[in-house]
Amino acid sequence: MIKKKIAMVGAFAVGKTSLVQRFVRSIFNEKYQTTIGVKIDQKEVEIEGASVNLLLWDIHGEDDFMKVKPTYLIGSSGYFLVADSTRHETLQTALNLGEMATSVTNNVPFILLINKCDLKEEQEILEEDLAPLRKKGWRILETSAKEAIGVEEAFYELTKSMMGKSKQ
Amino acid sequence: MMTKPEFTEAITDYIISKIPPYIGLAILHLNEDAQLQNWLGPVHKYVDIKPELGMDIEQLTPFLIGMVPPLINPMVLPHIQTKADHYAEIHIVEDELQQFWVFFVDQTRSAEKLQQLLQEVNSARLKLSASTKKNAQVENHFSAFYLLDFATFAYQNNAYFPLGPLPVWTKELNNASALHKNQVDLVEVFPFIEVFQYEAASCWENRQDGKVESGVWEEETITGRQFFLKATAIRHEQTNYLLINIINREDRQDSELIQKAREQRLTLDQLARTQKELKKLLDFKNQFVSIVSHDLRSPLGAVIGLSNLLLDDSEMMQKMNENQSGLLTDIKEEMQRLLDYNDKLYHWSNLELGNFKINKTEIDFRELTAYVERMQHFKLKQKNIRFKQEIDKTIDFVLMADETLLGQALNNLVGNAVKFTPEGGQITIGTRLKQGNFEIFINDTGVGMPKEISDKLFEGFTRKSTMGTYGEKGTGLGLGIVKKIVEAHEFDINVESEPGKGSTFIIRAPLD
Repeated sequence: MIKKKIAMVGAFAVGKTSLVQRFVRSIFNEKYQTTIGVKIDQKEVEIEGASVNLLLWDIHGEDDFMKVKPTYLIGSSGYFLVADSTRHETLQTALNLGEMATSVTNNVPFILLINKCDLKEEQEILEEDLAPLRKKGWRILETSAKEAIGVEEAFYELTKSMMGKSKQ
Repeated sequence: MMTKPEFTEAITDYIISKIPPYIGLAILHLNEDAQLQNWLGPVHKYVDIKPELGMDIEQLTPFLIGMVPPLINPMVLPHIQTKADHYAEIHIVEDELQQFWVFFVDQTRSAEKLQQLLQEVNSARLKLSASTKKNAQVENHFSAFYLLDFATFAYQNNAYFPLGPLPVWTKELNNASALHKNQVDLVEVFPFIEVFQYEAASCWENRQDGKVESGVWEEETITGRQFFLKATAIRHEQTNYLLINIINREDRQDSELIQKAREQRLTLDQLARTQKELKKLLDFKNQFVSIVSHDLRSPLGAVIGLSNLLLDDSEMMQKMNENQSGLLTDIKEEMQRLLDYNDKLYHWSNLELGNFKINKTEIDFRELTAYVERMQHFKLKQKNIRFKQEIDKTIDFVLMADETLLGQALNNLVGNAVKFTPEGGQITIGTRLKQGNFEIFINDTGVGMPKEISDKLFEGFTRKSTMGTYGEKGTGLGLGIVKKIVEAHEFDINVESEPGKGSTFIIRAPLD
């Protein structure tokens, strides 16, 4: 079976672990539990008739306490940059990590996930923040691990892009 | 043997309390770079190499690779086979000067069972590897690492070969069986190792001995329990090793701290957002108050004007009886008070909103105090209060302030003093230099106040407004406005007061 590595990167508490848990186990935990180091989960998906084993690298959040090691992204076939829609500063962290990811991976596909989209009253990342990125051709999806909004779609879309890339 | 090592206080305590009184105690004293500084006792019983000053600990004791500095302090490793025929309990301790001490306590006699196990390990290793005799001796040491919860592998030709038995924790892994092979696909078992190999390569491809540690990663047991692992790549005597160990609770204290720090950060972020929202609401309220109080000024002024017209109309007043003319006077006075309150409300809300600009000019205190006296003239006269000025003309300092705002603040303070000074009293306004500050003081011979009130006087808007000595009513806004004005100038204000002995309000401006 084909194996593909997907890395999840972003600031702390943006919901990377929750997104993986929602996708792999269909569960959500309200309590914030910081990720220490890396947690690797696996999920088998079927894309256009082909089975793919996704290795999901849930990498600890970046902040002053812990910096993401570039080597964690080596071998990724794709990655998610994750930001928390209720904390504007997490978008900048995602963009910084995106630059780092580009230098480590060989232009593999990625999607920017604006997570926690269910908290409509607290949105701090606005369309005007995202418009310049869309203009650059970035794929941006709104997700909510809590309400299971856009999670499956995001993982399937990225996997599809990765498969397309590997066929090229 | 060299001279006796100088034990630090902590190390002396450690030896007395933790090291068993046992024949065969050997001590190594290392500096902060883990180089040998001194040694004591039969070191030769535990190491093959003759100790030399400045020797690296990993050169002298290969079985301690990666152990100095200790993972936890102190670190005690029981039943370590240090030489083919010797076992020791090893204590690695870091002292208060960041030096290291290694204590060897002979355990050879109590290690028969362990020896049997290690012989089995060695046999298994001999079957598995065609290593050189020299390497075999080194691997022997590494193969005992399972006792310290390390899963140890030799790395040769891009393949991993287990050394010695695997530690107990590996049995709980989902794919534990994959580890029990002569050649292990370690990346299959621990996908994390795939990327760590890139970092490990920098160590393994080096000619020098060395090591590199991975970050932490999380695994799950068959039962779903989470645990954390860490890998160490080691290059020792031209052979490559990979050690994987479980991170215990003590080592995860940092993680718990990070968790707490991040939770606190999230709470602070949430508080900041709430504060921002609250500020928005307060600004909205102040804007509302500002507009309403502004629009009320004209009708209130009109009612007062009309009352004055009636009161000044002697023909009309003559037609009124005493009760009616008294009521008309009351209406005018209450409307005047309402206008005063409304004005203060207007000023207050604008100060809160920051709707003002400080226009600093040189302050002429004689003019300013004369203005205040004019403003308070009627009330001063009414209560027969003496108004005294004590402007120190010798002060070579020009206060720069907004004349209108400062005048308003002083007017409020003097008005406040009039309110609480009984008939025949005295109010003094003056300036002075004190403790490197320029001070404006307003002193009265009024009723004063207890400390519990004076301490909280400037804490903002108060719902309570105390009656004056003549039964004067206040707005509760006056001192709040004063504080806002003083703060806007970056000055300071406080009050000194005692019940029955009057009060002194002091505005302080720094001289520089």
